[in-house]
Amino acid sequence: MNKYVARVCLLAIATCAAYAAFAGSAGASFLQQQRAQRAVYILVNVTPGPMGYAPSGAAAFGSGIAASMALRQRGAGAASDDVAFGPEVLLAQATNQSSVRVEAAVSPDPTATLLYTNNQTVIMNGVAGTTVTQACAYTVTVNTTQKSWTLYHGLSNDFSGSTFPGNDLLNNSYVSTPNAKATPFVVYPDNSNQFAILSKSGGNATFCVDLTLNLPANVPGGAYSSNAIYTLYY
Amino acid sequence: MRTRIAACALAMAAIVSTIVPVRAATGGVTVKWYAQALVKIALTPNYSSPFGAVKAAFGGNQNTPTHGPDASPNSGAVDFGAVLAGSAYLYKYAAHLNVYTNDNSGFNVYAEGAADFYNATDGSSQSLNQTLYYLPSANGVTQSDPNTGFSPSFPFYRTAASVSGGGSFNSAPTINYGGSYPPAISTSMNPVGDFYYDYELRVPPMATVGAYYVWIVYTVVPR
Repeated sequence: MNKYVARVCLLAIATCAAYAAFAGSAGASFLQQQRAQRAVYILVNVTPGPMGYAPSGAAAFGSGIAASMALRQRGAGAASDDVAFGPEVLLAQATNQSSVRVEAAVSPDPTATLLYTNNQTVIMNGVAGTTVTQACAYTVTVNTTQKSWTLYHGLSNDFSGSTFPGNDLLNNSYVSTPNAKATPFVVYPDNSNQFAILSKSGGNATFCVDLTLNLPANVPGGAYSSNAIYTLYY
Repeated sequence: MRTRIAACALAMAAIVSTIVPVRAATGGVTVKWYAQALVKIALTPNYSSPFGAVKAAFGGNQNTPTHGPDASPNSGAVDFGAVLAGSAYLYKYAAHLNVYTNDNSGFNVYAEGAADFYNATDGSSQSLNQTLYYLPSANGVTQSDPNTGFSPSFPFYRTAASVSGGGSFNSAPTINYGGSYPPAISTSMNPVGDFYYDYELRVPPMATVGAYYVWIVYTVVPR
């Protein structure tokens, strides 16, 4: 009988260990289930620093790149593109337009009040090599009667690989009083596909999130984006 | 006598002047012409399969794309179908833009909304730049689309220029920029280019229930 009990215990331990190993970001909360997830879109518009920067190995003009995606946004450059033509070049400017209709049928989210943010989009503008801060850029609210829940957070991606990693963005997330110092966001794919625990608590809670962005000096001007992801388990 | 001699000399001079060749006056003529830049574009929605919407998820939890009834292969609308307020979605293989121009400098691509994201059910709107986003995609033939609903993307903006030609649900609009364009979303240094886009929809949590639509207008201008 004792051997039987021991085998059952070993089997249970092995099962739990396997679950924890393969459950990804939910590994630490393998007895809980994901209940809601929200994303805050973060757009960073970078203006090149005054010293300029010429990245090594940058593709030269006409080097065989057939087309490039500029992905430049308002705030990242001039208010409009300079398309002025000399009088000796063109008499008339031909353009062409085509359009596509985008549709969606929106219905209410049954978990809308369980986890929500007061702001879906954060825009941060700055010069390369400087630091940009936004106090209480957004709030994250858990609204439940559950006595024990876990809230995870992190970024969905780097802003631009190792040139502009996501952990250049720091957060100071607090309910009432700011923490002593801000901590870098973990980046999901850079952290073994896991987010970090923001809080283990129960009942209702609203977190104010201060953001601090350290813009690398060598990041080229342009627009970059990521998402701050919040996931609630209980 | 002297008069006759003088008259004779003048007559001789006149005859000689008609016989002796003189150097002809020449000058260069500069001929200039101005080639008008022409551009031809083809915009193809739902350009590869499986096109459609996928709810944003991480890693291998990517569902098969689905779409609403107004989307069809290589035509129709980019129809996300039924979506939940407060959630984010990726629309795979949303739009392919093929451009040909005779301008060797290449061209710029501009894309803006003719309006905000309009709820035809109750007449409300959601700001387009907090709702609909674009991101580079793949051609779907030699490359498959690697994006998820959390891939980096950039917002579409509602145009500040004048819109004409409709804009209602069944009437495609045009935008008159008057020579002043917004920032380009894509640029080509060559006269021929293909661009592939996915769209992301982030439905605001407070968005009212209903059927939404917006026209995205692509404009191509030689550089």
